[in-house]
Order: sequence, then C-alpha cells, then structure tokens
Amino acid sequence: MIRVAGLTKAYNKEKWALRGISFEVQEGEFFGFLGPNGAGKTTAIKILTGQLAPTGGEARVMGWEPWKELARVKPFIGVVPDQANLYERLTLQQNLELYCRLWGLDFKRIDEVLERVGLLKEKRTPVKALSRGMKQRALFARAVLHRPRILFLDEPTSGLDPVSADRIHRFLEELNREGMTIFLTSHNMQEVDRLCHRVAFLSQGIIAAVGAPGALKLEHSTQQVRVLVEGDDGALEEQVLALNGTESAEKIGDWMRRGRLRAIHSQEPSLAEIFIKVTGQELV
Amino acid sequence: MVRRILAIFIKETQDIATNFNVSILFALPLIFAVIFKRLGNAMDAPAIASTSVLLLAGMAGIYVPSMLVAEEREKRTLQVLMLSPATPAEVFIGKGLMTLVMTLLFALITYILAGVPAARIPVLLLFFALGVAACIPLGMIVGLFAPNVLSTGLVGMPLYLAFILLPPFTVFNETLKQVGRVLPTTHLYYVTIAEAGPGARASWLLETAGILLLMCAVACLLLTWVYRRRATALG
Ligand SMILES: Nc1ncnc2c1ncn2[C@@H]1O[C@H](COP(=O)(O)OP(=O)(O)OP(=O)(O)O)[C@@H](O)[C@H]1O
Ligand SMILES: [Mg+2]
Repeated sequence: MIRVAGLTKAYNKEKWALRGISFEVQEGEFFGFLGPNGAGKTTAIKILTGQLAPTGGEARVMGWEPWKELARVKPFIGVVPDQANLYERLTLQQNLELYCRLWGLDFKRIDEVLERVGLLKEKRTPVKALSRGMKQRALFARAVLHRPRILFLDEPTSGLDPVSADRIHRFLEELNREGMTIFLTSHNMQEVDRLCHRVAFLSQGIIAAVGAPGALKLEHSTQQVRVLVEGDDGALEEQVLALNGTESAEKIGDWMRRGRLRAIHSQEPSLAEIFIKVTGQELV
Repeated sequence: MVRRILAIFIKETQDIATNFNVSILFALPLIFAVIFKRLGNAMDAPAIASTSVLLLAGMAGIYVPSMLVAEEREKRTLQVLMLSPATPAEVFIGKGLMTLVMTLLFALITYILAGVPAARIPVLLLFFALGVAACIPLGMIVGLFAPNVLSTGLVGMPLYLAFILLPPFTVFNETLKQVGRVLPTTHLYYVTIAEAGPGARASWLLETAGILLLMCAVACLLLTWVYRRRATALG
C-alpha cells in the first residue's frame, strides 16, 4: 500500500526534515511513526498525501507518487491533519455536506459517520462551539466520509484527555479490524504500543528502528526477570535474576514449591526506553 | 466540474450568512446609496448609482474574494479541499461565483433605490457583472499574498483605493485618465453614469463590454499564473 525508499526532504539548504527514510506498509496494517517534536512526522505525512513534493527518493501510495498523481490517489486516502481545520462558522452538517457534494455522496452518509464518531447530536452545532475532542472526532468523520482504504493520522490524540483519546483509539481499532490500513504518527509511546502492528522510530529525519512493538521489546530486552519473594521473616524482597539458566530455575522453582513467590515480572524495556537507546534522544 | 463548483458556491453562501466581516462589505455600499438618496436633490440617479456601484465593485468585488482566499489559507482548510476531488480552479470559480451573485443582487437593489429607469437595469447589471468579474480574480491574488485575513486589508489597500477613488478623477487630467483606463471600475463607473442617465451609443457600449471582457480574461490568467507560482509556498 505504501512504499517509501530513501525519501529526503529539505525545506531549505540547511533544514533537512527527512534524511533518507525507507519503509513499507502492507494492506490492512496499522503502522506507527513514533518521534519527538520536529522529527519529521508531519513532513512525511504531507509527502505521502501529496501536499508536499520530496527533495529526493521515492514514496508511493498504491503504486502512485502522490504529489505527481494526487487525483488518482485522493479517492483512496483519508487524512486527519495535525490541526483542526473545519469551517468554524458552519455547522458540522454543513461541513460534511460540502465534502459529500464534492465526492458525489448521498447525505445519508453524514449520519452514518457522525453516528460512528458519536456526534450525531451535535450535527447542527457550529463547529466553533464544539470542544476540542469533538472537533477531533469531526475530523475523523470528514476523513472517512468517502470510505478511503488508507487513513493518515497526524498526532490524532495530542492535547486530548485520556477518555477522549481512548475513544479515538477504540474507533481506530475498529476501522483497522474492518480492513482499513492506518498510518499514524505520534509522540505518545503508549498509544503506539497499544495500537500499532509495527512502529518506526523517527528521530531527526532518520528511522532508527522499525518493527512490531513486541519484537522490538524482545530484541532490546535485558533477559532478566524481577521477582518479589516472601522471606522467612515474612518481609518482601525484590530480586533480579537472569531470564534463563539453572540458577534462576532452581531459585524460582524452590520459591514456587514453598509458596513464597509473590510476583514475577519480565524485564522488557518500554518503547520509550528503546527509543532513547536507539536514538540517544528523549521522546517529547 | 459543475457539481463541485456548485458545492463550493453553496458552502460560501452558507458561510457569509454568519460572517459579519464579509456581509458588511456587501451592505455598506447600499447604506451609502440610501444616504446619497437622502441628500435630496444634490445627487441624481446616475450619480447615486455610479458611486454606489463603484463602492460595491471595489469593496465587495475585490475585498471579499481576498478575504475568502486568505481565510482558506490561514485556517488550512484549503489543504483539505485539495485532498477532495475539487481542483484549485473549481474552488476559485465557486468563490468568485458567490461573490458575483451576491454583488449583482446588491447592485440590483442599488439601481432600484437610486431610481434608475427599470428598462435600463438589465444592461446595467450586465456591465456590472463584467466589471466585477474583472475585479474578483485580482482580489483573489491579494488573498494569495496576504498571510492572514486581517492583513488582506493592508496588502490590498493600494488596489482598493485605486479601484474606488480613481475613476471619478480621471476627467481632471491626462495622466489620471490614462491610468484610469486600465481599471475595470473606471469603465463600469462611466457606463453606469451614461446608462443610468441619458443613455449611451451602442457602439461605445459594445466597445466597453469588449474591454471589460478582455480585462476579465487577463485577470483570470494572472490569477492562474500567480497561483501556480505560489502553490508551493501555500502548502
Ligand atoms: N515549512 C517549513 N519550512 C521550514 N522548515 C520546516 C517547515 N516545516 C517543518 N520544518 C522543519 O522540519 C522539521 C520537521 O518538521 P515536522 O513538522 O515534520 O516535524 P514533526 O515530527 O511533525 O513535529 P511535531 O511533533 O512538532 O508535529 C523541523 O525541524 C521543522 O522545523
Ligand atoms: Mg507534526
């Protein structure tokens, strides 16, 4: 669905936003771009959605280069931009009517999408009177109106409270289950961890690592377990042991037989820790 | 194509109803017409009609499209439109059409208010449409250069002033006359004075219509050229 090879973008001679990134996204995949502010996430999305021409390299969406053949790509892509850009004075309904007319869709579709994002009641409300979370959901409604096959989302939950963010996460999971390919950028590692099948770590215009969150964690694991054991005096003690090996096996086996084991945690790093490890840079 | 132009047209119409900044620009010339009329015998029908129509073409015909375009850029709604099936041309035409229809409506009211003979109104409206159609693309160019809605007033100021103030003064000296000839509003102004009053020779009307049509074409080409050149700076 998406193929990127050696993609670069320079806004001007000194400012390289992307310094040669390569990755592929398969149909039906939920793909994440994780990176701090200024990493080049928005730049990548703009190139993939035909709003910006790259400086070098290749980027194809469904086989086409978006900035050259945008008209061909448009019907297949939906975009949730990094800032709310609805017509503020118009109502939600009027906003969506515009896009229905442009796409040649029946107005019935408006109720369908508003229902899905839970904004049916706000249909006749001017957009400027909606809350931030509602506006974000309205952007979703607009993005999926024409039933695109790939959805691009630029930090869709930044600035939202956990409840609103969770609502959006569930909506995205639902869309993905129905077969939509999703390309998401985020600087929130929990979000990426929860949602994405695969994630690319973007830092200063370079992809430092790509892989499934689970696989990345295993790869960078310290191969240790942390156990909580009850001693003879009843006090709890924490110990770190190797994940494999006879010594660990005997100790843990012994505690288990004597009913002393209270907790056992595998010590895999969080995505944020891996990010720092591979990029030398903090997220956010 | 027509469907998408219509879609933009409808959206713009819905929008100006709630946009005070823009609707005031349509209404102001009409308010002036009422005031001119109240002045009593000081101004006759041709004077009221020509002055009001000049204000309408200069204010609504240039300022409004510049604000519409600048706002789409400022609020980044243009980038969404570009991801829809709409082409830039369709967006501009839709916006222009709304401005044209609205100004025509207000021009009609102005003519009636000014006391122009009913039989002359169709011809006057035709010329008004031609004159405004030549102004609208220029307003849109202002909108492409203004970084936001607020600054359209400043960026476009020389244009608005010239288009509104110059036409009545072109009779005073040769330089002003030559400069005035390149402004569509000058032609609109003198056609209105003639047609709202004694009437004009058919040949002169035809010539003026031709000039305005040409200006309109040039303005559209200029807009296309500027848009193409600025397209990258707009993303
Ligand atoms: N129009 C522009 N002109 C010049 N430089 C730009 C422009 N847009 C972005 N940049 C620069 O390119 C780099 C990448 O920016 P980009 O917006 O892609 O980052 P991002 O990962 O989306 O960041 P954020 O999390 O803040 O949204 C930054 O250093 C930024 O300053
Ligand atoms: Mg960004």
